[in-house]
Amino acid sequence: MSGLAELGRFSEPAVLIMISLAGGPKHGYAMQDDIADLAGDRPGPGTLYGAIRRLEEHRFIEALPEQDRRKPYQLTDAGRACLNAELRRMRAVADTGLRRLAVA
Amino acid sequence: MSPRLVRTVLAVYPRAIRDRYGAEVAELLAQSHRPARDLADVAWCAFADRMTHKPEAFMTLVPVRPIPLIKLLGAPAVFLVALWAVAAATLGVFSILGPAGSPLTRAIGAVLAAVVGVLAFWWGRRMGRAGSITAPGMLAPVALAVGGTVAWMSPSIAMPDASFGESLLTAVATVGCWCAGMVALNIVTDRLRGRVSALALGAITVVGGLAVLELSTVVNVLTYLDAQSAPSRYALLWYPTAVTGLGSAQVDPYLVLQEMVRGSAMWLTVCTVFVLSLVAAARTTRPEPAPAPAVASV
Repeated sequence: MSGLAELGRFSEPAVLIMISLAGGPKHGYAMQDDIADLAGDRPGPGTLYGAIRRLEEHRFIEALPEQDRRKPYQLTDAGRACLNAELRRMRAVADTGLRRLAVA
Repeated sequence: MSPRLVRTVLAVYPRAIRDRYGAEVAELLAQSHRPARDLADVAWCAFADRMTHKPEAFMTLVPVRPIPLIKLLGAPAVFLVALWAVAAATLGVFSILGPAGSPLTRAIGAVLAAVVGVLAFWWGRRMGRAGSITAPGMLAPVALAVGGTVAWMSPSIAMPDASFGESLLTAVATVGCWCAGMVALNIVTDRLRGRVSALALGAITVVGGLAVLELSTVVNVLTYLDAQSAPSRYALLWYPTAVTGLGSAQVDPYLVLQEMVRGSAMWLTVCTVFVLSLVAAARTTRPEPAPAPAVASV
């Protein structure tokens, strides 16, 4: 999972956060709403900020100055590249799986 | 959601993480549409971060090992089920050998309960030697206290002991007292390591463990039974009487301790054996603190 494998149980929330931020900077509450629409499940605050912390530590996302007492985050260039690689990998795996299901 | 409750849960986070993200997490909790679930999520993540976070290297990731944590949280329930099985066997299967309160069935019950204790000792030792638990002296009692309180209040695995599943106050007070006592004992024995002989350290550990069990049983009785059922002048004898039945004619003439407290006292005993063996085994995998060098006289 490229740089996300070492995030352990936070790797899946991390991907969802990065996908959410790929659409533009967001603060935590907006990320929760967006991920709920995207994945059908709203991450809890502990899980969300556990993933945010680890993404910041890997410099895949960065915090922006506070706006209306809320702190938005955005993808860094390294984060965008990592997300790109991860989604391509997931697409390749999904395509293989769907092909095999169609053949079976 | 109560701001005080939010602050209490956030306090579990290491300071560096709390200072950095606490306000944002608090805001999400305040606006949550599923407060119980989100609070549990934050508490769990805070606890895991507390156990793995290295404050001197905030940007360093420490691998999280969830399996040992899950085992610690589940251990009290495992012990509860094992003791329940012993009680059921003593009452059911072995009753063909004699009445339920007869010396023979009591002796068989005691042997089976001791087997549970030996298994707890072995399991704790194995987990301790695996070396996968950070700060075992604190983590093990806290995790067992959390899991134990949940198990205590779960009627599906309630012991014949009547206090299980009945009173949250009793559960929290008793298990909380036990947890605080075990953490304190582990801190004391850790500081004495290398300063006293192994035999003395073992004796202190055993006496300290019994003291914690005595205190926990006193808290259990005081929060659950009335003064008439358990006169306080025999408080120091509640634990040994509840566990062994000895002296019950004077201390427990109506067998209130035997019926209401015995199960929880035995269960806490097994938990104590487990924690102490785990901590002792974990310490043997790390070197003893070096004694202070002698200062050469001039």
